[in-house]
Amino acid sequence: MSAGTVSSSSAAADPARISARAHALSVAAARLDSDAVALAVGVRAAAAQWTGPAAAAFGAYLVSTDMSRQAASAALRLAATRLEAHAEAVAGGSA
Amino acid sequence: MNPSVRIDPHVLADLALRFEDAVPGLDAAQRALRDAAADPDVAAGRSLSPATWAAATAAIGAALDDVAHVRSVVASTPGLLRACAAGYTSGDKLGAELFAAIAAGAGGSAPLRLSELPATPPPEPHTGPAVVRADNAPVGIPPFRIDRFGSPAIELAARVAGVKVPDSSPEPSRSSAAPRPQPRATAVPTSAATARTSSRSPAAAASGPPRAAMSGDARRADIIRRAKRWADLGLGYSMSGTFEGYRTDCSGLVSMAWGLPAPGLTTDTMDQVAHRIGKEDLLPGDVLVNTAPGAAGHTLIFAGWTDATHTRYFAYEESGGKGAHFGTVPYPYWPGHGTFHPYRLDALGD
Repeated sequence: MSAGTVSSSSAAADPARISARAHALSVAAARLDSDAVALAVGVRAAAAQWTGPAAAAFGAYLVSTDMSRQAASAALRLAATRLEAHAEAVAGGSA
Repeated sequence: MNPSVRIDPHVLADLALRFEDAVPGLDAAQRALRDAAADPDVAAGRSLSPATWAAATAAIGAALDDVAHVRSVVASTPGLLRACAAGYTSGDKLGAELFAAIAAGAGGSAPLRLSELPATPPPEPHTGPAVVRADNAPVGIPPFRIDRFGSPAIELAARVAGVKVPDSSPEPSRSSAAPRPQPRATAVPTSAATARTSSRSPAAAASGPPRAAMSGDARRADIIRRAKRWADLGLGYSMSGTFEGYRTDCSGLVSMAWGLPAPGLTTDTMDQVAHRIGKEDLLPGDVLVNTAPGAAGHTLIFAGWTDATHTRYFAYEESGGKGAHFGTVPYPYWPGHGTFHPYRLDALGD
């Protein structure tokens, strides 16, 4: 985990910049969600042209990749929330 | 394995392209995470707030792991899809084996390791339309742990995607029960060609494939793809401005996505090409409309329910505050914006 290797260099952190990083994570999460909707619609369209139980199984495989995406998206949002809290703490000078 | 199962290789190639299109978004997420982790201002707050610093770095670390995992899955899926396509194209055997392995992995707890499956399709020549490139053989596909997520999670995702997940009951699957296996000579090549065009040339995609030849589902996918493009571009809102001939307002977005003539209909004329449907009939590509004229009216594209409660939905929307964007909306719309009803493009059927 690369974040853990970052060293503390100064107490004069810029909360706005930290907040901007949090926003970037939120945007990245939203993009994953947007891509996922387009993909899910595509999967549904494709599945309508399949037949048989194996096709349904393959549909399950495909939606499981969406579950992976949902986990990643949720993690991104959590990271953004944590960074926002971090920015607020820095802005307030709290320990 | 049921030897009668048929999955057209064009459909698999189509899906492979869709997955490839999702990789850049994951790369962007990884970059955002790494930038956040490396930001000196993020690190500089450590001495001020060690608790929040620790929470932030822990969350970033977990997110990096998750994004790396899903990128690995998504990036390897096109190879899997093309392997299945190659198997079917060359005689079904390999494709059938892959699907059998996937079915076992999806229904049980044992990890599915693609590396243990045949990596090279049989060499026999095929007589069907060629869509599988030889250089897409699934060499080096990393192992994929389909057991990472439990059955309830997969079922939830299946509901979102509208895909039936196989279970132990004898209930027929949605895809097998759907009364519409498409004639391979018509619908499938159209779908594959559409995906290839849209993936490689957004402008060409916006100009539109021959929609009359599309199946309803393919057409819905195309509507979402078109709307997503405007959202990705972040086109600003204007009732007088245009982009590629269409007004960049709410009804312009819907008109463009539906493939109507430019510059597009308005909220009070949309019923010329669409009809009211019930809430529970909503499918991606339908719209919610407040049919009031002018600035009092509004419309947005339904892109699926957020969960089984059907109280919020994903939507593509052009609005004055945000421009073209993707987000979630309470059904039928935010309070204080008039009365909204679901509508469906007539060409999409009942």
